[in-house]
Parts: sequence; structure tokens; C-alpha cells
Amino acid sequence: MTTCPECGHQEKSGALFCSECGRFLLDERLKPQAKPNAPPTFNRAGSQFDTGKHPNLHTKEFKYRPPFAENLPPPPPNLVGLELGPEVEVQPIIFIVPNSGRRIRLELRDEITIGRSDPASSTLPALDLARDNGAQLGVSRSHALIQKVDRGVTIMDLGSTNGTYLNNYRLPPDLPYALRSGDEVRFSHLLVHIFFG
Amino acid sequence: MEKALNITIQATTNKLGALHASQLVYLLVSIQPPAEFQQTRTSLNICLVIDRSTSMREERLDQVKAAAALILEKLTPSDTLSVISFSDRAEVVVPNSPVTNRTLLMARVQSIQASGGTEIYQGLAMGMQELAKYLGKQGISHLVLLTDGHTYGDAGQCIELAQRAASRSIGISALGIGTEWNDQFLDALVAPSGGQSAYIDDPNRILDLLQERIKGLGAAYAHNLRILPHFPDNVNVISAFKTAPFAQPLSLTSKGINIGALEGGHTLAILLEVNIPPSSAGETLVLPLGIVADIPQFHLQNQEFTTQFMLNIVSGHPLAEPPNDLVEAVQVLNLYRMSEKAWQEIETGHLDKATKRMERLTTRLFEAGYHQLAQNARQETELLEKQGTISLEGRKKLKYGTRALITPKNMPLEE
Repeated sequence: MTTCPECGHQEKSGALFCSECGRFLLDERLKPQAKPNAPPTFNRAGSQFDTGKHPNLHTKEFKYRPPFAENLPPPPPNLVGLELGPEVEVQPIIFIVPNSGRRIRLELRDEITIGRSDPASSTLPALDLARDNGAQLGVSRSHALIQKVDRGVTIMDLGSTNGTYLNNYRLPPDLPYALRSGDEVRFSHLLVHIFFG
Repeated sequence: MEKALNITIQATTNKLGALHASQLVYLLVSIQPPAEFQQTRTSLNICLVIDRSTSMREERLDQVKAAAALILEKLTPSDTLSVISFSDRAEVVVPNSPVTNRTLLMARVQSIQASGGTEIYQGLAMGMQELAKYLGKQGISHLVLLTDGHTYGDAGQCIELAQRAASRSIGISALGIGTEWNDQFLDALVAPSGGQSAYIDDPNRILDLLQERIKGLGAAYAHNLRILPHFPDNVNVISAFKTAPFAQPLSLTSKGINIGALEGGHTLAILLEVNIPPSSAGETLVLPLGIVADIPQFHLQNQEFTTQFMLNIVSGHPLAEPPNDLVEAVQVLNLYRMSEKAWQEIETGHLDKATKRMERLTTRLFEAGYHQLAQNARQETELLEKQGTISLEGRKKLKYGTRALITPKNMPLEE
């Protein structure tokens, strides 16, 4: 048997992917490459996927708009504790950066700093967005902070130049807001999907 | 005759570690006509079975008629065509006959009016009767069902009929229009013959799909293909999935796996998930595989071609380095299955599980770079959280979208 390192599901030896959570189970080096430029191959039978609506999705000019943010009311100034669930067993946090196709998994012990590393200064945030074109997209060196609190997880903008947006709502600096699995957070122009593992 | 079909097998590994537990091996079986093969056109015996229930009125039916007209253009006097329409009963619009007078045939098709319910069995049964008139005299017999609705109370009968059709070498393809139809039913309907089911979100696509099917079948080099795994005891095929020329789940039967036709210019590829029983080091497992086919130009019927795959059982944990194509095919199959599981969980009321699975599916789709599908999955996850279900459209987009990803990107596109 092979145990999925991400969700603990047991698979038969020889399985390539976890049938429960989809994780690749062999050596990471053999993992299929993300296809950020996957063409809309779907003009053959059975394949009706219309990517035509987003012609610039994979080009640099494309300004990402969260797909359904416009349907959501802006979140209330959601202070810590207000809408958090009962004691959350803190799980690993998974960040997905569609821009680069990068997927990062970090353990949340106390806090995770987010920003971009800069050789000129000594900043080295735990989640370094320099590798995702962060500098060009306006990510500050020290941009935001994710913290574990008693009853959940919060995110706070650290007074960044271009702002932190939670589900398209710009967070005022230095105030923690509740963060939930599935939230979309935009650091300046760089969109990141956040899931609790 | 071993040159009449080229068969290659790729596997995740050819060395397995000896284990006390069973293990999985994936095989990708690719079948091609011989390189020197001259493409000839096979004559066709086609039946279009058209849903004319009330919901088909106006645009949908007009598009189906327009598609039928263009199909007529593609057929030659050596082909035969019949057209059936059905609502809660079925009528023969065009009796099966050689395609000689196109104007007359088209006038009859134009006369179809929409009204009534949807009872697919009536239409299929009448379609079979018409196809039977030229069965065996023509190269390939195929029924194409076009529907936009659920069938009422006769789904079981339809599947039985599809099984009988497969045993008589009649293929079935099913094109679902709009979002109301039952995808599991259409999958089950086409599975016995290895045909195709597809989702048409835009009526304009009816023509493309129909044309493609007719063209592919007309250019078929071999048909009624079947895989016969002559595996040793305890080695079982767990699932089979057609990955080219179109993606389609296949059904396993005691008579093998029907995989449809080998269309001209295309590779026919099948992904097999195989369970290997506990085995000890030093053993060599021989996995013989038979491919049965009818190849008209060599006057071969039910001819079996055999090949085999060898799997060495060794001690320790040999590192598997599966070929990329295979890993990608398995990855997408896994994504497809995740979306199917989420749907089953919704249907059985396990919404928490379904939501979690949809979140994971979203993650994996993003990770694999399928952004458009990932966005759809996200939207559906939101809807699931808010309303406790996903949209019919979203479900079909995910299902047929992930399924379509399996089809190799380098497949030749004609015209």
C-alpha cells in the first residue's frame, strides 16, 4: 500500500495519483508539468470547453479578475473571533498561484509572512512571491501576514504599497481578518488561492 | 497477417517489487493501421434517431435538421441512410435506403415537427429495425442518437437494446444537447459498442460532431474492435478508458472490452488499469492481450491479433519511471473520476464530502494548469456551498471538459 502524504488515503502500490485528493504519488521529479499555456485543444468531439472567452488568460497582459468576486458582497470588517468556527485544528496551508502555476504548501505554526525576497535587503518571507513575478506585479517586500489565532486563521495587510485584497475586498492595513479555506487573496496584482490542507 | 494492425503497449513500469499485497499497473494500448495502408472509404449504413420532443422546438430542431442536411451531402450513393424521429412514439421519417435522391430525403427531414415527451427506447428500436435492412451488406452500421432530455421509464430497455446492437456489430453514438439529459444514461448506452457520447452546449456544434463521427467511421480501417485480456488468474483489468481519438469510459464484459472502430488517420488508444496479485521475486508475469477486429480490405472478420506484455517481479522497490504520456493520461483520468465522485456524493446527500472534493479538484486542476476548468470547478464549489448542489451545466462542463483533456494534444486534426 502507498499512503498519500497529503490526505492519508491508502492506495494500492503502483497507483500514480491519490484517488481521494488527486496528489501525485511518485517522485516529484516525474510529476507532469503544469500546462499554463495549455491550448484550447477542445475542438474535437466530446470536448466542448470554451476557452474563447478568456483569450488573454495565459498572457502577461491579462489582468486577473477573480471569477465570481463580483457576485459577492464585500466582506464585513470581519474582526477576529467574530465569524470563526470552533477551535480549528490547524492544517497545512496550500497556496496556489495561477500566474506561475506554483503550488506551495506551508505549515502554519504561529505565522506565515508573505512578500517577495530582495537581494538588496535581507527580507526573506516564508511565502516568497518573487518567484511568481511578484516584483513586476507590485508585491511589497513585506506584504501580508497569516496568523494562527485561538479560533482560526487570520490575514493582515502589513501596510503594503499596493494593498491586499481578500475576495476582492481591499483590507485596511494592520487589521487581522478571518481567512477561510477557498479564499482568494490578491497581493497587489498577484492572485493566490488559499486552501487549508 | 501480423502486419494488418500495429499494436504497441506502454506501461507504468515493467519491473514490480515483490509484495504481499496486490498492486496496480497502467497499460496504454495503442492501435494503428499499418503505415503503408491506403486509406479507402468504407460504405456506411447510418441511422439518425432524432428527438422531436417539445423541448427541441425551434433552434435545436432547426440545427439538427441543418446538421442532417450536411450529413446527407457527405454520404454517397453507396451509403444507406435512415432517419427516425421520436417523442413518446417513434416514426420512420426516411426508410433505410441508398442515398440517391438527396432533395427528397431532405424534404422529409424538414417535415419533422416538435411535440410530445421523450421516450428514447421507441426511437432506438425503430432505428435498429431500419439498420437491420442493410446490416452486413454495408461496411459499418451506426446509429446516432440526438436528444435533449431524460427518457422516462425505459432506460433499462434502452441499455439492453444497446447490448444487443453491439453483439450485432451496430455502433451507437449519443449526442446530448443542452443540459437536461442524463449523462450516465448516455454513457451506458454507448459503452457496449465503444461509441461516443458527447455534450453539446451550443446547437451549432451538432454539425461538427456529427460530421466528425460520420467522417471517422467512413474512413475506418477496422471496426468492431475488442480487447481480450488473456491474463493469468488473479490479474484483472479494473477499468478501461478510451483516450483517443475521443475520450470515453468503456465497459468491461465477459466477452472482452468493446472499443469501437479504428478510424482512418487516427490512433486508437486505450488506458487499462490492471490489478496484479501478490507475487514473489523472480517471477515473470506474461500478460497476453488479444485485439479482435474486422478489417474489410483484408476480408478479415473477427480476426484476433495477439501481443503480450512482460512484467518482471523483482526484490526491493524498483523505481518506476513511467512515460509522460501515460502519467498525463492517468492524471486526467483521476481528475475526471474526482468530479464523478463529487457528483455521486452530491446525489447521495454527502455535501460536506462533495464540497471538500470539489475544493481539491479545483486545486489539482489549477496545479495541472487547466485554468479554465479550475475556474469552473471553483464556481461550482461556491454554488455547492451556497445552494447544496452544482449546476447541471457545470456538471457537464466539468465531466466532458476533464474527459476531453485526456485526448492527446498531438492528435492529427483533419481539415
